[in-house]
Amino acid sequence: MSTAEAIATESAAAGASRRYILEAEGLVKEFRGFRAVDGVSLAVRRGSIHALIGPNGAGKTTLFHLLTRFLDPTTGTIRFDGHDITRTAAAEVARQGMVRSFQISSVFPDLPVLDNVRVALQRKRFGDSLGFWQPAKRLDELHARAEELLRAVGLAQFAALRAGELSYGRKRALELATTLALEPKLLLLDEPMAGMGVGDIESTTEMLRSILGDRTILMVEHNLSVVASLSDRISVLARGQVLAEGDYDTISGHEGVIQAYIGSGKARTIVPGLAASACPPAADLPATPRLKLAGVNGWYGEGHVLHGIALDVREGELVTLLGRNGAGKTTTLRAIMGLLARRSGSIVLDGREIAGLRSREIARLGVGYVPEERGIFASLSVAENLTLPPVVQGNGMSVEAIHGLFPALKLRAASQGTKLSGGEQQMLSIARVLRAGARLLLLDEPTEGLAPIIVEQIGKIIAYLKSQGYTIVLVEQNLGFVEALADRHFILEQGRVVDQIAGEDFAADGAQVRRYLGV
Amino acid sequence: MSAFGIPLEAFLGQLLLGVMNGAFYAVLSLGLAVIFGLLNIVNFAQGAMYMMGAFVAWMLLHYAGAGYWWSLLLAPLIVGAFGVLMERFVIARLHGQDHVYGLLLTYGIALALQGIFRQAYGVSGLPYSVPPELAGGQNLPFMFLPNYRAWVILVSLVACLATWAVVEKTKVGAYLRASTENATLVEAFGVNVPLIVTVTYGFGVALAGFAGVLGAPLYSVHPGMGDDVIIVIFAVVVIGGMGSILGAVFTGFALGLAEGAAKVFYPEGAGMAVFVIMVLVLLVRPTGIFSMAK
Repeated sequence: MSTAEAIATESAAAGASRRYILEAEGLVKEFRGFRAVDGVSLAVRRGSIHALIGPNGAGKTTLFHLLTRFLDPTTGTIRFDGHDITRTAAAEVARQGMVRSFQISSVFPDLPVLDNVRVALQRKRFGDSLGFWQPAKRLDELHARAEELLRAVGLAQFAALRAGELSYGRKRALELATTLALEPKLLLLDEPMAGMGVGDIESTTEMLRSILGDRTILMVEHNLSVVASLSDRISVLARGQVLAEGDYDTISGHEGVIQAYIGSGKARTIVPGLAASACPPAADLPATPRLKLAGVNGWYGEGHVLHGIALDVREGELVTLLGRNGAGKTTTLRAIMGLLARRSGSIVLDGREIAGLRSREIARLGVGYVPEERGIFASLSVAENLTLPPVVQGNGMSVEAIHGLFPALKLRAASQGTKLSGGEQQMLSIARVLRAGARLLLLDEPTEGLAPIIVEQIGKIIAYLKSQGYTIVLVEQNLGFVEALADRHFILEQGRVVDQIAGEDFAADGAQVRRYLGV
Repeated sequence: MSAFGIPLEAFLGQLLLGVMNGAFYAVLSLGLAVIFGLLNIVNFAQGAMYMMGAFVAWMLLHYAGAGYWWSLLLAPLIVGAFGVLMERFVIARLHGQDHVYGLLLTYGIALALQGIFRQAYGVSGLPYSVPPELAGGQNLPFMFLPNYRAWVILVSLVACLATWAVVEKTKVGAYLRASTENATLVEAFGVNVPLIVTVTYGFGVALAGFAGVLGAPLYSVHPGMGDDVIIVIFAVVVIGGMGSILGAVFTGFALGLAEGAAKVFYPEGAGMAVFVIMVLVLLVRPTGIFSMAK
């Protein structure tokens, strides 16, 4: 390269770095011969919101780790704010203003909410080690700033609460506040909406927009409506490569993207392949309930969470529990399963009172629990995970039938359980209670954090189970997903059932439902 | 012949002694690791269970005329049964409490047991002879190898491998591993987790009782024999990584060897060798060498 060319390239690069805060060139990350990230180039414009989407296992998280320097790229370069950071330490990159949040919530549970933010501020303002040697009144400044940040994320009234007591959505908001305390130029958010209720998603979207200012955001997110409403530019990753890039309209019309990620595009409205005939109309169902809850109260420690829940599920019926985060949906499932230390009220299964039984006795009556966090055991192989639950009823599904329904579990039978992708773990979590022969399934948010195309598969499986006469209680945030599946919906608010909507009225009552859920 | 200016025979003799001590460390800390993994209880009574194993062997011989081989079978069962009762009626009450409570409780139990045996049998130690089948030794070209020591090393290795195989390769082991990760969920699948916990505790202390029988002919049977090893086996578990089975086994043998080597090169420091290694490991890898934790 001649000197003139070098200077030209240099100044071009300088121009580019004024426009783009983050530029990655030809990034490759190899793990023992497997290319998780395979030649990705990415440019994030200053002051924009850039979204990274793609199916599970596309390499989004690995790319995130590379950009934030948690992992070293095999080849390729990364420039941040005009500096080459390809070999810079992660902590140094963070000091330069690139701050990330994690997929898994990470607050200090025993510190008050305000102190969680203050610790981050302290780190930013005082530096480390001996930086604490300061006049006490400087703490007041920090307090003021911390309160300001809490207001920005809508947590002002929780400042004195222990962070561990916040609901999931609010923990995420707190994380955002601590991230902002570090005064980042570029925020990297890994699934900021994961596990949030519809109402929380709405307010968090608003909040992200309002805090943007002159900052730049790069986020991984599965919720396409969030991506559509927030982002200026979207990169779609598939098999470690950038499949497409552009604004939402370009992406959503892109043939390759539809195939690899969005699926038929109907996952949000209707589950394809699920004809109305697959779901017997509610009138054909027996009148006596299989499961009946009356006046169920539940507590977590001192917190009174359930206030007299009453609901009933008939044999072969699929009912959903809908409601905002913290409404008591998961707690209701846990109460049925006998997992609450303190509860009262009556839970009748097949005419038998089960409220006083231990969880293992309830499981033996044919109740299969699929928890929100999926509960796949890391120290067990996929095959061991599958056969772990003892057969509770004689008609358990055979391993062959399971493999027919979930082929991925056969292919990966020998791998460690938690090495499966999120979607495969969800399938394993459902499969193991089927193998145990449970006929009443309690499914807690089976589509959380999964790519639309996987959501579609899970939907098909649930529809199939329903057609086989399984009785299902489903907790779900994805309204489009439940609309096509459920016979009845119970709406929960603050630990009470406030409404019941028949499946066929769901669309008509849409406005009412959305009001309940705060959409 | 000599190595590093030390007669080869003395050197190898110390190493052999080291491996044998290592075998005890391995079996004892293995039980400790299994118990900690599942119950989250730091079982300070492990040393006392080891001492009890030796005393039970002695009592079986003196009161029932049952010899070494019967003891090898019965003493672990008796100590294990004692452990089961202890878990059911005492330790289970601490379920879900902080580590400190379990540690204090089991330490208290250890002190009480030691006191009882001291009151009954004194502190001077009771003799227990090597079984006739294992008396004598082999004259190897470079050293004399007592048969009983070779037996201890061999049978300890078998016990460790068998435990590992049960935990890693069987259905019961799968319940145990899963319960270690998330006991509530395993129970919600219909598994009787409290039973698994009790059996595991019983098995863990039975291992200690087994080691006690092995140790009876080597070290005199006395109430303080648990004290002699408990601190070292805690160091083994800490170095290996809390709750790691293979870690406990490898580290047990390795520390025994290190101690043996230290006795040759710097006898005054031999007692410290284990703890120097522990400090170094904790500095570099605070969760232990074989730990899966991040």
